[in-house]
Amino acid sequence: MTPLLSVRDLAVRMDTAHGPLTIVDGVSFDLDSGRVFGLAGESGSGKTITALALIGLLPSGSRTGGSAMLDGRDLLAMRGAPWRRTRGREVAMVFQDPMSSLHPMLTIERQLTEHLRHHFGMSGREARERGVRLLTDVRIPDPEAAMRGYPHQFSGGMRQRIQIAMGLACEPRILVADEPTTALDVTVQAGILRLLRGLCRERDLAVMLITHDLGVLSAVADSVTVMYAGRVVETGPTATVMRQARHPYTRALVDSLPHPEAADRALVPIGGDPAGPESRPDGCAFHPRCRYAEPSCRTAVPPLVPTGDGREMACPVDPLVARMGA
Amino acid sequence: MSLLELRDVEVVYRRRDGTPVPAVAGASLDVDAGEIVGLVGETGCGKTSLARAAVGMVPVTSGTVTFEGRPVHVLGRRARRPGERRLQLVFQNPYESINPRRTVGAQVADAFAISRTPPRSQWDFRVEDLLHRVGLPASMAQRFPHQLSGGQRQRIAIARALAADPAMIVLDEPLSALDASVQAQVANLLVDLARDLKVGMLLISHDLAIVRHVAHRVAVMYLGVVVETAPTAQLWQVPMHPYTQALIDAIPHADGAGHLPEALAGEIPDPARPPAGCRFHPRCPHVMDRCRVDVPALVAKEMGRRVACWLHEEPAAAGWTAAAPQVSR
Repeated sequence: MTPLLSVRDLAVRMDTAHGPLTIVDGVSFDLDSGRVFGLAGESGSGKTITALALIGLLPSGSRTGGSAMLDGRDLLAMRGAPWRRTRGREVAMVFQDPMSSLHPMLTIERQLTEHLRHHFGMSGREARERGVRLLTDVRIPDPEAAMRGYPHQFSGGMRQRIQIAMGLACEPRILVADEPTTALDVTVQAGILRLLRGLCRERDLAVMLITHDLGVLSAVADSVTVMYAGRVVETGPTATVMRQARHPYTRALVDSLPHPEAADRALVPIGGDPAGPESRPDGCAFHPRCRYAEPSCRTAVPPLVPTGDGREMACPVDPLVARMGA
Repeated sequence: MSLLELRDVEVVYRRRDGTPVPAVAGASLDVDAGEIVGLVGETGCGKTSLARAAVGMVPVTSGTVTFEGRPVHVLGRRARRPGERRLQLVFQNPYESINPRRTVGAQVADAFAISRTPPRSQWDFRVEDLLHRVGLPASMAQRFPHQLSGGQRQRIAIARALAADPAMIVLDEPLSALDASVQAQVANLLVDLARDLKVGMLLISHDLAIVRHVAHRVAVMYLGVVVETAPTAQLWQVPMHPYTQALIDAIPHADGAGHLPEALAGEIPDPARPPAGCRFHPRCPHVMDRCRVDVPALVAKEMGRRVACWLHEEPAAAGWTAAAPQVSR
């Protein structure tokens, strides 16, 4: 099966307070229709920049490398009118904090129907009817009344549903959701995760879910890619990667999480702090925090190679093997 | 007598139009020396207001807050009373709670200046000692906050609280601004400090999973009231209140099983107009007629548990009453 969107060797270089820096380096992945693709990483890992590159929202002056092919067109190379037709229409994005992405002074109707008028030239009435249907689809109670409301009248969970409805307005084929549940309570988060997975399956939508929360990924993602310091360290089917993480970073991250089934097990923290873009070490960026690091890790960037069990991993030391030997 | 005692505390704010909003509507809680009590619940349940009332940052409308047997006074313009300096607070965001223009060492030493102990000649030594306590090198004292990571800043905030030689620290979401790999470091630090220094801690958090690893006892709040409190392991094994059950079921597991967590229907109601009877009844999957009318009291059960739910009406054993003292751990 050919993937819907194929990202190859994505690199992003940006001007920062520390001078021009490579934030994302050699990232490749595929998005498939009807599947949730999870992108995991801590702050500074480059996961959000990866998403912004795909939707063309990088700060001006940023330079990208590699390709992101959708139907034979490279999203990274698109400019001007073709890009405006694609963005929002075929690729939509949902952000972490709905309060900062919704306009506080405009009604939900105005914000929800704007793209319908812009992309499809719908009349006010058509767009209104479509808007009510969208709010129904994202399970907003009393959608008619909600259309007349303003963002501050809704709870965080409802606002996030409204934002998802806006993302879905033009029936995109790809929905990028950046930390969509991070600002929400767990009880509300569960509802949003169910909604995202349901929409993905029902509408054959490709969902790219970006989060630092491996629990969230584990619940909804079909495949996961774990980033550290701008590079992919491990990727594969969710069940394979999460049941037995093999890259030392993924492994350590899983061990550091509170485990609901084994509270007696002490949390095993990873020493040190995540490497920011301005202070990335040479070689494998994780080596200063890695308990399996070898001399070669300090100089050479390990390539991402298949491990034979459906995943790919960028580490010359296999912790599974190293552990058994120890 | 517990180190920190909150009895039937009410905290009422007023809206601009004068409508009273009871954010905390009669909550009771105890924390003993060396004990970490987790206070959990959704946004808007009143946990932060209760924490602020516990340290005197907001006035209590009714009920009492006592620390080491004496009432806690509301903070005003004057300096905190000497007896209350051993009650400290750590905020959520270490990027906002630390002064960016002063060195770490100078900020940690603030408590020494206020309490006039130890003598100035010993400050550097004591700061070094405190930094060491929270797992930071002595060289940090000369740094400025912008040179530190989020985890290091939160350690500094904790060191600053420790400088006052506290018996009790209230921590408001101390882990939620931190990266996953750093959360565990700070969580383990809290456990070590409570054990080694016999400091009592009230840990406010929306993250039940981390609370489970850190807290000895957990109190669950819903819409201004405590609905269940129990030793952590018991609460997890057999959550008795349907709201506790819902919170636990909503946690996603990082196990690769692809199991979607359960969502809790509805939203937390407006605290200015709480539902009659049990405040949780409109969202409760086990709601009975009685729940819509009568308010369930927080009733003591076996193993130091208390629960406010009509499903568990019968006291577990003779001798237990609602007024029985909490037997914890």
